[in-house]
Amino acid sequence: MNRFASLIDRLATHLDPDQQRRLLMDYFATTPNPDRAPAIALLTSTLKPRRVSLTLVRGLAEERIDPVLFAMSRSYTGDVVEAIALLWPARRRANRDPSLGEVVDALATLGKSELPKRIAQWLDASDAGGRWALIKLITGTLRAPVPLKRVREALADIDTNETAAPAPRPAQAELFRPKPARAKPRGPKTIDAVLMYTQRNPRSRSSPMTCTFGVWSTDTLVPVGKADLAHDAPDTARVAAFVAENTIARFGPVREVIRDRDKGLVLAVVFDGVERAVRRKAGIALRSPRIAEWCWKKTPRTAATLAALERLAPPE
Amino acid sequence: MRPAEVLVLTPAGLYCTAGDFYVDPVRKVPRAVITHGHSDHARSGHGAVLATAETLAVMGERYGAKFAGARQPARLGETIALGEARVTFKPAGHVLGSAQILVEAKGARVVVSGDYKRARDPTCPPFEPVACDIFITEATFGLPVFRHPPTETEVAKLLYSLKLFPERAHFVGAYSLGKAQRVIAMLREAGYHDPIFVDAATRRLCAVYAAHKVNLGRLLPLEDQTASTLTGKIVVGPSGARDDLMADGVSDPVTSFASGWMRVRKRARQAQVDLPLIISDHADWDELTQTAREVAPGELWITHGEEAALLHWAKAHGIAARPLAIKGYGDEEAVPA
Repeated sequence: MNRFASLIDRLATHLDPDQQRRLLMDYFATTPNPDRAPAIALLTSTLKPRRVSLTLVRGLAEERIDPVLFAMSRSYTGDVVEAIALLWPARRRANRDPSLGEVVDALATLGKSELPKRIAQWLDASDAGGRWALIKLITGTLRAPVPLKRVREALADIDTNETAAPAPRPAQAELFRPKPARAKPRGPKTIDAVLMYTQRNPRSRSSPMTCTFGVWSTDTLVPVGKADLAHDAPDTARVAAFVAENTIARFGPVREVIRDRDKGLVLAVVFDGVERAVRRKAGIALRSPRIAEWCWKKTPRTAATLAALERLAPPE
Repeated sequence: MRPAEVLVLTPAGLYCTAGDFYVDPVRKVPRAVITHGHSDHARSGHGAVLATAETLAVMGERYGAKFAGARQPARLGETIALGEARVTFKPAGHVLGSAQILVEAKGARVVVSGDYKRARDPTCPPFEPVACDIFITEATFGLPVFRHPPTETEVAKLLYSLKLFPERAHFVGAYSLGKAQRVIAMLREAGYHDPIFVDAATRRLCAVYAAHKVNLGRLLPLEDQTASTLTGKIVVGPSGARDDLMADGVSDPVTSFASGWMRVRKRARQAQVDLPLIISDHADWDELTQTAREVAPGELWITHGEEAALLHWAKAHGIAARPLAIKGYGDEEAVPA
């Protein structure tokens, strides 16, 4: 589990598609079954293991962790799964960490009464990264960190490697492709959006505020995503001051800020892709949006349009 | 004298009446005893400074030769009389020259630990627990979510990345005093002997380390290199040094950042780097609690950082504790904005 978890972690921070493909290739090339097959299935979202409730896992954690420290840690990380993964007391004499295949098999075969004990043993034997991925996996909340296409590319490249020697380097492979046909790299993209709502996170000290931002659909702004304002970002105080001065409505902890075509706050948002999201007003959602910078000199009318984002979404 | 009267908190920092000196003052004072060279603890402009020779050398490098009116070096283990007080320097294991300061006055013993860690560090001698009435501990990582993994495994992550992406320069963001030298020394221990590229400020501090017999291997200046000489090489320096890398024509390095904060996902994401490395020169939760147990002070005073959780822990373990709100100490591991 620890190895699979460290792959997931690396894929979540290495955003460059070429680096992601090579991380996957290396993992597949060095991981034999019974781990390889479930890893591919999880990364392509074709495996949906039986769900265990988070309440069960939390109960196991509460048996082992001081309640005050647990609450403080949950508030600090802003995430109960992460708090459990980081706080779970490591056991020196625990077994080796469970393999991915073992976890998937056991989830499918073990009876309900046997599961809690087994889960606790797995958590005892894993490292912090392994525990996080394990809890996400068994509670059905582990999301594939890369697009399906990337996994297919990596698998295809390994097949080529295994039959042909010497192994082609990625740079070499590109030489054989005619230049205009070369796929545009699918790296992170940036758009200008307009701040619509903010929500204070009094319990999370790693980010004081969550910002909801939108883009233009003809004359109205539609929300397309949320991103956390980093606690130590350079403009945090200035944004907070803007929100304080320009709030037009309050809904509990949420503040709506002024945002017409000429007045409002524009921010550059970096994201990894666009997904269809039928339940959202905009019909799309940004993948992993994060705040790149606050554009104090721009007016909202210069922000992006929904149509531009729709062009980046996969076909319906 | 009651132990709590040995050191009193003033706006300039902790003050010892019996010896008429401050420890790590945050304002200019006539007489200062300094634990280590990080700029929030070691400021320039004091009348006289007492610190280890290494810390004095670091301060001289950063502030120029005239950083204080007078300076006096202290050896680790040495006891020096100051007025009616005696101070003893004990290793803190934080960075080169770092020391805890034991202050004794009229039979009472107080230890100011400064910043410290218990994990192994090839660039400075290990922390030594000192019996005392009051132990003043830092609490930068005073929450149980902070458990730093062995530094060796983090360094191995960097070397794995170098193997996987041999055509990329690898930029490791690391604070220029302490963190940078520790990362370099541990890369050497792990068998990495290629030249490592460092920015000018870090290089000057590396020279101070080398002058105190810490071998960091071959270091080359980061300025005026070309993209091809940096291919597949490691660059170490504070985040600002990325500008030097850009000036060299390297536009797509694998970026890394070495800090204890990288343990928390949200923090790691905020750093916007490819490879977060959990490497810290501060004690993690287990080291803080282990140290409080080993030192077993009459009272634990907790300063700069996450005091609340450690206070709760101390209470639950029968150790008298209180927070000590010293203003002005920063955190050199913070994610640069």
